[in-house]
Amino acid sequence: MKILLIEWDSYGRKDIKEAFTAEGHQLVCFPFDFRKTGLRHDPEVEEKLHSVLRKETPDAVFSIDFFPVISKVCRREQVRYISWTYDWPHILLYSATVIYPCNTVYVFDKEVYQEFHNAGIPTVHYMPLAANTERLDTVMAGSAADTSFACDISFVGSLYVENYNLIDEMMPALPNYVRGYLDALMAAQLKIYGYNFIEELLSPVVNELQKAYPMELTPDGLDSLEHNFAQYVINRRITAIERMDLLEAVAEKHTVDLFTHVKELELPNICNHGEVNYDYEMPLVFKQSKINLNITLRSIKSGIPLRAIDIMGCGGFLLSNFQSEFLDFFVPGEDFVFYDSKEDLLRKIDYYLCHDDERRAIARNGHDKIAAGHTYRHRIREMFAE
Amino acid sequence: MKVLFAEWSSIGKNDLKAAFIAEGHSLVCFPLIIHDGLPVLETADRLCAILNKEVPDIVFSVDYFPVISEVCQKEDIRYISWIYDSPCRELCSVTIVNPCNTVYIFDKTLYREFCHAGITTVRYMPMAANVERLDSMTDHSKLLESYDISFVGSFYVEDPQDTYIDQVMSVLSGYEKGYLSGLMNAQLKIQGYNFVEELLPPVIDELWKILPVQIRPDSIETREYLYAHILNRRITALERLDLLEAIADRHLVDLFTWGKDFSMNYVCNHGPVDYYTEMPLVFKTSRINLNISLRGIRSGIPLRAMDIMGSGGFLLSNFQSDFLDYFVPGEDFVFFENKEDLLQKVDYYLIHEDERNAIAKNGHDKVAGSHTYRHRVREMLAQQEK
Repeated sequence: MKILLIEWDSYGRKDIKEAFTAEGHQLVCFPFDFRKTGLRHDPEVEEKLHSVLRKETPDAVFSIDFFPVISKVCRREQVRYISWTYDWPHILLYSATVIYPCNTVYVFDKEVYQEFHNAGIPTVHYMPLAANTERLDTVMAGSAADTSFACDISFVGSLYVENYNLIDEMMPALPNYVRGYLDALMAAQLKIYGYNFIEELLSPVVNELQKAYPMELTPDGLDSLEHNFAQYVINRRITAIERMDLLEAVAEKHTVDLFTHVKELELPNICNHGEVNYDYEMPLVFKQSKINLNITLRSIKSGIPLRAIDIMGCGGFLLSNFQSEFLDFFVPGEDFVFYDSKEDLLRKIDYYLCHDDERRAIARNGHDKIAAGHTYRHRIREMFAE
Repeated sequence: MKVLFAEWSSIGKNDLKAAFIAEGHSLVCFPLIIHDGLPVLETADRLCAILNKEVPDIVFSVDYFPVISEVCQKEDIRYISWIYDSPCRELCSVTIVNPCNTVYIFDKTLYREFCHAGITTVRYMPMAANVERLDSMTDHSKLLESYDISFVGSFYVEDPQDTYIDQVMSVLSGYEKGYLSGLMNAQLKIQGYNFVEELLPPVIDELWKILPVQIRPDSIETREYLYAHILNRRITALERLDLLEAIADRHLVDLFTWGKDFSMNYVCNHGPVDYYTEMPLVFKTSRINLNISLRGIRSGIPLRAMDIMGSGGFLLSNFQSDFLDYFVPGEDFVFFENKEDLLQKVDYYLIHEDERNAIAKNGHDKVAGSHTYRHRVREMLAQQEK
C-alpha cells in the first residue's frame, strides 16, 4: 500500500517508519508540526495536504495520535485516515470529527474504546502499543565497561511538577467544601487500582472548579468539564502524589534512580538524572536497571502504557501497578510482575533485588513475548489487514 | 458436652439452641441482661454462680462479651463465641487474647486482620441457616401474595446512633463536610474493599470535637473505627435507597423494613417482618431476593444471604468475596457488580424462570449440605475436642 505518513516528533516514529517499509508498504512523509498549526482548522495545512493527496494519491493516510484537521481533509478527499493514539488523555479524540467514516482511530486503552463503542461511535478501535525489539536489541552501551545507567531501581517518567503547581494555585481559590471533596476523592482513588471513578464523581463540584479555574470546552467537542478536570487536572495530581509517595517509600531502603523532565527537582534519597533521550538512552536505563518501575498515569484506565511495553521490549525487568490489559497478553509473575499496594511494592522490590535468576528469567520472557507478538510490524499488519 | 448458652435476643438464637440439642449436647441457658448495649454489672457474679452450680464443659454466646471471657478465664473454662454482628465492638476488647477464648468471626477479612495482629484466639466461621425448619414452612397462606423483587433490611434510621451523622453533618465546616461526602461517594463506587476507616485521619479531630463517641474502657477501638461504623451505615442506607429506586423505575419492588412509615416511589413498604415466621415466606415467594450488604461487612456472607439461599429463594447479591469460598456465582446465587449490572440481571432473571429456579435449588442444597447450624455446632465443638 502507498501510505502518507503525517509525521511529527512522536515517540517511536522511526520505528513506525521502519515497520511500514519492512512490511512492504510505500511511505510518503508529510511533515506536520501541530504546535505551529491549527489542530482542528488550518487553511494552509489543509491546502498543502490537499495537494499532496492529489499528487501522491495514497491508499491511506496514517498518523500517530488523531488530528481533526487531517480527518477533515481526508473526508473531503475520500481517503482512509488511520490513526493510532499513544497519548492519553487525548482531547482531540473528543472532537466531533472522530465519527467521519474515513477514520479508523486506534486507541490503546480498552475502556476508552468501550466508552466510544457504547456511545455508538463505530470508527474507534482498540490496538495496544508496541515496541521495536529488533532495534532495542541492538542498543548497547558504548563499551562493555560503560554502565552509566546501571541502577538498582529506576523510574522513567514525569512527576507532573508543572501541573502540581497549577492545581496548588487552584486549590486555595476553591471553597472549603470543594477542597475537602477533592481531597477525599483523591485519597480514595489512591487506594484503588483498576477502576478510576474521578470523572464520574466530579459533578457535585465541577461548577466550582470551573469558576476557580475556567477550562474551555472543545467547540466541536464531545468532551465534558468532568472529563477535562478529571483527566487533565485531578488524575495527574493523583499520579504525582502516588509517584512521589512510592518513590520516597522505596528510597527509604534502596537507591532509586529517577529520570524525569525536570532536572531541578530534588527528592530525599533519590538520584534525579534529569531527562533521558527516548531512542538511545532510555533503552539503556531499562536494560541496566535491576528493577524498572511502571507507575501508570491515572488517566489510563486499563491500558498498558508505552513505558511498560518499552521496558519489556528492552529485556528489562518490569514491576508495574495493576492495569487489567496486561492480563490479555502477559502472565504476571512470568513475563513481568504486578504490585497491588505500597506494602506489596516494597516486599517485591526486596524479593526481586536478591533473586537475580528469577528476575532475569521474567525479563527474558517479557522480552520474548513482545518480540513475538507486540512489535510495530505486528501492529502495522493488524491495522492494515482489512 | 454440657454447654452453658449465654443467651440474649440475637437473631437465629432458637435455631442455634435446637442445633446444640440435635447434636446431642445438653444445654443450660443463662440469660444475659443487656442495658445500653452492655451486660449489666451483676452479670459476672451471676455467671460465676451458675458455673459453679452447673459445671458446664464450655460457655457459648452469640457475639463476644468481655465480661464472660473474664469470668471464664478466672474459672478456667472454655468460652466459645460466634460473631454475627458487624461491627462487633467487643472484638476490640483487650480481653480478646484471653487463652480461654475461641472467637469465631464470619467475616474473613476481619478474621485475617486479627491473625495478622498476632491474635491466636480467633477463627473464621461463616454464618448458617436452619434449612430443616425453613423447608418445613410450606404454609404460604400467611402471605398470599407473591413478589417480583423483594428486599428485607434496614435503612439505618431506627437506631439512636443513626442520627449522629446528621447531627455531625449539620455542624461540620465546609472542608470536613466535603471530605465526608467525597469519601462516601467514592466508597459507593467500590465493592469488595472498604477504605472508610483508613481515610478518616485527616478529619477525625473535627468530627470528634463535634461529637465524641464513648470509647469503652478496656477497648483498643480507635476514633476512626467508631466513625467508620457510623459512616458505613449511612453509605449502606444511601446505596440501598439508590438501588431500590433504580429498580422501582421499571419493576415492582416489595420492601420489608423497620419503619412502616418509610415511603418511596413505586416501592411497596410492608413494614417489618418476623424473622422466624414471616421472612422465610418472603424469600420463598419472591422471584428475586436482593442482598445489599451492610458496608461494614468487609468480605463476609451476611445472614440475610444465608437465609435466602436456605429458604430456597433466588439470591441476587452485591459482591462479597467470602461467597467464593463456598458458592459458585451463576450456579448457586448471582452477583451484581454495580447498578447497571443489577438492573440488567433483574431484567434477565425475572423472565428466565427455569434458570432462576435451578440456581435457587442449587443454593438451597448447598446450604442444606454444609451450612446449617448443626454443621457449625459440629465444627466449633470438634475444634474444642482436638
